[in-house]
Amino acid sequence: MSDPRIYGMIKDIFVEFFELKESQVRPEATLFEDLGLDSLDMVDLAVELQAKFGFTFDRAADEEKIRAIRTVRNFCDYVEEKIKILNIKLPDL
Amino acid sequence: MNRNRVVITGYGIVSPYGIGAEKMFDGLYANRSAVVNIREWLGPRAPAYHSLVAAPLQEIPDPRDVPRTFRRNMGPLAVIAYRSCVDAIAHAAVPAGAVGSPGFGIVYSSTTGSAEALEESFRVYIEDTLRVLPNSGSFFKIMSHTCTANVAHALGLRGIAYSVSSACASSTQAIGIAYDLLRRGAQEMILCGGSEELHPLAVLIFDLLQAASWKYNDRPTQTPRPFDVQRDGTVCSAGAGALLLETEASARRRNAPILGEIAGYATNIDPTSMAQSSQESIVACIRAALADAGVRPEDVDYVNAHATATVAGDISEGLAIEEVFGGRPVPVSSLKGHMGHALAAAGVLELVGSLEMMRRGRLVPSLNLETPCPEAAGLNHIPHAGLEARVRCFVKNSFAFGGINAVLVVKEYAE
Repeated sequence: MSDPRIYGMIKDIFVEFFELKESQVRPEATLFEDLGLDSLDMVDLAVELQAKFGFTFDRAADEEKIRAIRTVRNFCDYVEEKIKILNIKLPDL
Repeated sequence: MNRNRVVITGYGIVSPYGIGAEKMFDGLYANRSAVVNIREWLGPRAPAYHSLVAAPLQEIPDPRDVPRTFRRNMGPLAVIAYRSCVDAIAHAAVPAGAVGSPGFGIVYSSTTGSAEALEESFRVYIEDTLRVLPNSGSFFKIMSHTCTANVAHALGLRGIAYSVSSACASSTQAIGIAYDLLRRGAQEMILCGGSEELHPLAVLIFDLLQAASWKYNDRPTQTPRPFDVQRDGTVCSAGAGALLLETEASARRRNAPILGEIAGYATNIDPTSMAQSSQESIVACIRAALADAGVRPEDVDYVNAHATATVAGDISEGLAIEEVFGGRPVPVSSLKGHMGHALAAAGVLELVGSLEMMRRGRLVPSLNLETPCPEAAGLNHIPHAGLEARVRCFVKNSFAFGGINAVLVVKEYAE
């Protein structure tokens, strides 16, 4: 989780869509237990990834990686890796 | 067969007049029209419409009253349905533990799923080829049982859950089905009713079918005009209503105040026209409901008509009422002149309005009825000032596109 821009953008998504406080979206917070998200929220997260970053969960290629996502940090790492692989340019903060 | 008696112990209302039954009663008894010009609301679509009148909600429940995990699956339709049900439960003072019991069900209705959500979904589907639906909740807002499912989830219901959809007869049928379930002992308590969110498309459909009022766009409070010779069509409106019905035994066990008794119900379909029910089929439905209630026409003190102010519909109903109750001038009125036609919600809103008339002993007239049309001239129309009347029993009519008729008989409760 080396790029603070990604963490910032993901935190914004969590705050806006899941009505969480910024302080709740800590890197070590677990998505389901700590933040109270569920499988439908994961669908909305996928939709927002598409809107904000131009890609979404690739279930065929990344099945294991997606299944391993437990925390905000895991999620940020997945997004960061995809951004590098797909060479997506992020906006400057 | 020994059947349960079924009583009304609570209701919740969201009407064009605002949130809460009292606001609706105030509007009705003040003979205040909730109809407005909607040119501005329609925006660039307005030129496509002949009819520029509707009765939208003047007060909208705050969606944030619903927890996020439930709200994400609700369109405006389900949000107001939820509010009506929460208020009905509170009005009936249902004990908290009863709501999630297997004996507590729901039979709720709407004409369609949320039209607003459907529009949004199709826009995304058509404009953005990489997306199927806007979000995870889209389908749950669109599906035809959106109100029943969402209310049940938000309230934690575990009993029978049915969704009814029969356009303008929806909530009357929902109440009738709930009544049938309770009297045969399948449930102890049931939330029942209907919701309508009012989408521009609803107005346009009535417009296209030449059933919407269009001559009073600059005088919106003068339309619709039930049974009036100058009527020119109906006016669409929004609203949601719920009744808390329960078996008499359940209500008495918990000493709940009883507001009235559902004494009879009938429904039928007229296969001769999609657009309007015939006099013959309406007569058959009213007579079947009276027979179900064991009530003679002369025992009925008030008829709350469907009367939407369409040219043909009011004639069929007026003649049918005269045929059934002929020889005895039972007072008749329609509440469409006050608050337009809330389609799926119309039946329950008007039934609750009629319950209040029974409680107050004062009948509300058909607003905007000045000169009765010749075909309805034989009815006992309630004067503009209202009418003092002891109401022990009333009949509630609802008819729908598709030829569906539904009639309820409601009585004052007596042990």
